[in-house]
Amino acid sequence: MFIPSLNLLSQLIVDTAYSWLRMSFALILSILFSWAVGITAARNRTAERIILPVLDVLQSIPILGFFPVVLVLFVDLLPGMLGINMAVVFLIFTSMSWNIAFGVYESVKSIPEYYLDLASLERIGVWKRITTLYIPASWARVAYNSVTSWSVGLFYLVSSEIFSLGSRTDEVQHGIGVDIATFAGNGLWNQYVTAILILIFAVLLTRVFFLSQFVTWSEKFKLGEDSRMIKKDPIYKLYSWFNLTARQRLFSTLAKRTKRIPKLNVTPRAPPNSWERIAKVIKYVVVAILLVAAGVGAVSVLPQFIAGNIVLKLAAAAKDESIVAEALAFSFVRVWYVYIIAVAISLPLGIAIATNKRLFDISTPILQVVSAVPAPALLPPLAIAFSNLPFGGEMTAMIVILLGMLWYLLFNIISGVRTIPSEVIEMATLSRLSKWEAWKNVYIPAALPAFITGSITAVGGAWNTLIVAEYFNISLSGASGAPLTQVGIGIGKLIDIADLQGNLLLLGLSILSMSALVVTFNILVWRRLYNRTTKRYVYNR
Amino acid sequence: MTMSQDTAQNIQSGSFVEPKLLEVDHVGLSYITDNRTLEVIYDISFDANMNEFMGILAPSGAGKSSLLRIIAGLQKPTRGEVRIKGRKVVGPAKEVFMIFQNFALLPWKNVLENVELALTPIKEITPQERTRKALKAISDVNLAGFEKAFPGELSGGMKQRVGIARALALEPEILLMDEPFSSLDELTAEHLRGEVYSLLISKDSPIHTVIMVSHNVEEVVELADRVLVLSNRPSRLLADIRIDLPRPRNKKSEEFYKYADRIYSLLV
Repeated sequence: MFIPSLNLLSQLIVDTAYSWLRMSFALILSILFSWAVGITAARNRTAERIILPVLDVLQSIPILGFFPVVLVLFVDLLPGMLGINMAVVFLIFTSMSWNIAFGVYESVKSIPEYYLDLASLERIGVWKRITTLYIPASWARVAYNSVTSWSVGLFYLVSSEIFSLGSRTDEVQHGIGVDIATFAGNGLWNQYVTAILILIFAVLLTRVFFLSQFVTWSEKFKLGEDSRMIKKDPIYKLYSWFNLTARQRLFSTLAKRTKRIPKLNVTPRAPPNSWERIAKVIKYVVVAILLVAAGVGAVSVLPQFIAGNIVLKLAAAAKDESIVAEALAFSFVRVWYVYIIAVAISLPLGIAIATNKRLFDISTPILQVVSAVPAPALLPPLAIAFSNLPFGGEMTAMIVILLGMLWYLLFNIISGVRTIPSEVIEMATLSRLSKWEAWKNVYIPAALPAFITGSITAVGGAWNTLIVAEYFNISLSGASGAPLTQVGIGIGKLIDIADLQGNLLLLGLSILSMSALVVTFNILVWRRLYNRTTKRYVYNR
Repeated sequence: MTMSQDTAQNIQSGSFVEPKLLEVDHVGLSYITDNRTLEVIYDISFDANMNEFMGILAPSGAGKSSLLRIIAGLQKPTRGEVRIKGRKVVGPAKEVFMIFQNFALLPWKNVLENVELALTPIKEITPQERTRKALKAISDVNLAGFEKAFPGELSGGMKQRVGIARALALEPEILLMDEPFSSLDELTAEHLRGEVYSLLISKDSPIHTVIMVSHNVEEVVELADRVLVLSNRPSRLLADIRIDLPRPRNKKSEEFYKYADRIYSLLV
């Protein structure tokens, strides 16, 4: 029996406090940023037209890929430990802020007209309006989105702390993610497990004593209606926001466009003919290629103004791009086969949990605890366990990506099924539908919109996870410089290696190509799928 | 009506008795929350007669929807039992179906598919017959031409017509209605009420008993042959009133007012 020493415990608690400090700092920054951007977009037409699409794209980009660049930049710019800490904070900030910014935008946008009239009548100035109307009106959404943002941010916190260990620059000092990685790296499994437990404990403590209090406190600022937004259900409380945010993430601009035209449904619209469709696809592909080209240009050509020989560099860029394309293809397949496994697990499990009250009551606390562990924290032991197996790296990557995806899917499916009106379930029972008929006709279709939103978030998260899952370079005690785990080929691995070698061209190309692929895929596949499902599969009596 | 008189005579003569279609026998319901017991239904007993439209009126919170769900086998009573044809109800019985307050339609299925879905578990009928039955029911509720429409494209009144069509196609012997008109606007509700009685209760209708739960006194007096009035929570049966008015009923007639007044005075 291992009893953690007082020394170890105090070290872990101090390091968790450091990590939480980074998280809190990032959250405060995110809220300030969200007020600035969200209020501006909500109250200024021109700003709205620029800010919303930009936020849209920023949300779907795999941010973790940019971390190596951010790391180098901040470490170079800022003195001492400030640089690396700011880099971590910045990364967490980028994962937290879009979600909150959209929340602020929507709550300010939906302030009832008469409040604004009242403000005008009383001749309240802009600054006073912000402090007495816009900010209070946004508190509820800020608090609610903070819950989600905290969970997402935690993933980035641990990832970035771990990642910094394997990068060229300084390591993060004092951080629960650092502890986890170093304990595992040195085979100190008792200490590792203690660290994971402390992490879980801290997450749960934060949920109970800070986040839920924040949400409860913010409730009083609600301007009428919407009181059902926050459900008593703990799972709802934490994760129903994934639904909304993932939707906003991709479709806020689109939804607004369609809302303006009331449709009468008299004559069905002619389906867009195939030429229009092909033209659209071509348009997107061209945009994607331009994006990549612009990236190549920015990374490769700009330095040439300083140091000549453009042709040679362009040839190098083209050669690098072919490497990048191959790695992307491998990672694409990796993300999707893991996604299929995740769906095969989460869809039946989610529906079973949601439709069975006893199972729901039993599994909720378990899921709460298990989902509190950010997937990257489990990487080291997995990597070591699989290191001697054939395809060990592949299996490690699979499990880490899978764990990252599973919760988004599971929680979304559960909340989706639980929105089925009880009358519909009664109808199915009274019709004496068999279990399979009920699943096929009622539960699976009902879970579909939430399932799609969960999928968007899960696959988006998977691209981020690749950076740590495909390649993890931390030296074991006494071992040589070989990386702890790695897959054969993958964009995450390529990014890590490019970073280690200081190959900025390859790094830039990899990141931009990955972003272009993800953004294009969102527009071409997810957006359509989402629109199709919400058109029919949503209850709105 | 003749059927129930027969059974009454059978009981008197002591000969073999065909079990009643529906018997509610000393049903009680209470919830336990935070160590406190909340009595909802104290004790309710009644039998349903053949070819009868029964209305149940109760103040809110008296458990009238719960009573309906206990009859449907969706909810277990704390005390007493419900029997259908002499069998104790322990789960949804094949003789029972319900029309819901908010229609309970699946938005991803069109009108025809929604109606057909309820028929799929019945293995005795072929898919062709299933479609035929569904189409007949849809045209009976005057929705012919809307078979391929989705619920999202229909008005509230039309949605409830689909709900009624589904019940008609299924031909349950006991049809339960849970505030079927209360989520419709008053004009639509008025219109649908005018049609619903003749649709459900007719000589050749396989539906033998309709039980409608409502909080609207006029609605119940307009439709029901018999009205059960329940007391405040914990509820018990206050009155069992037969409405002897010719159909279609004139809501402005003096007799109508008399019935309505009597029920109001019981509820207040």
